[in-house]
Amino acid sequence: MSSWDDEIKQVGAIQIAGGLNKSLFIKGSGDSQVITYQGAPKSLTGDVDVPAAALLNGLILANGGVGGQTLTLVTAAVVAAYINAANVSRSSSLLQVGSSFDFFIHNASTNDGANVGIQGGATYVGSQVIFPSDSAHYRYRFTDVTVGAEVASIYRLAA
Amino acid sequence: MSVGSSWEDEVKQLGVIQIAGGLNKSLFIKGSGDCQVIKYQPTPDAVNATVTMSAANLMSGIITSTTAAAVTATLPTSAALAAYINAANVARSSSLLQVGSSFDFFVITTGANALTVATATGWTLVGDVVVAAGTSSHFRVRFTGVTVGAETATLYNLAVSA
Repeated sequence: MSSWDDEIKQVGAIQIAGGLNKSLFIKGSGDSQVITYQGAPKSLTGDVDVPAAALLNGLILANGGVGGQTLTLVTAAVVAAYINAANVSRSSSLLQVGSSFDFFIHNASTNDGANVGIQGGATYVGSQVIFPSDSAHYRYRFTDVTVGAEVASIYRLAA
Repeated sequence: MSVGSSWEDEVKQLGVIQIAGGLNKSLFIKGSGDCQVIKYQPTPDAVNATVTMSAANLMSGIITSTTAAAVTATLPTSAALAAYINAANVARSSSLLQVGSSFDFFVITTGANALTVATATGWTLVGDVVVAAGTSSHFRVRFTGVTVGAETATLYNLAVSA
């Protein structure tokens, strides 16, 4: 894949050339937004593993029920493999150290103490507990992108 | 081809996506299935003592604080923040900022004390600026004036973790 046009259209990659600390500006006017695709949210029932697809979906509907729910994330290597398999046009990994995406978990339970907890798959910074009727915003950040041995940290960013 | 003369250069060299014309036009990123916008997240910065934060702290996007003691984190001046942004995107002589340019950052406190964001020249603060112990806050910076050297900005607290 050789052209910049192809990099965006076929691979899905925007690479800002050179320049440490360069930001990407999306300029606009009036009441404009960056409108992104949101797949139908993933519902997870019971104490289950969270597949890579659910993380990449970005919006997980959990339910602590009465006694709470524990969600276990797949490894970073599985998440990386999912991402690279989807963006198939390049033979090497698209990920770099620092590649990140956000995901949200909503706990639909209204029962006191029926928390949703997440665990596994990464190093966590901040709370891993989502209280009933609350939502949590997490950022998934790759810290090692050695193919097959990727490592990630997950940050609790906000409610 | 001079830098910035083509759309490709605008994006690659300057890091600018400008949607032509049309008030209220949005940028659509289309997809299918379970996909995301995967972007670069620098190593989060730690602010563990009372300090004036740097522009780089804010631009890192995530600030962690172990808050062994209560911390007051003063914002850099809004002009210093603008200068930092423009200095990084060096290929154009004029400011890349427009009124409304914005970015988000987050503060995560993992210790036993709060982190309080304090104002500085050029800022207006809206919402709770105290990040309580063991919580997180989501902030948005929005530039309201982009006169070079005298930029102004508003800081909004968008969300707080329970």
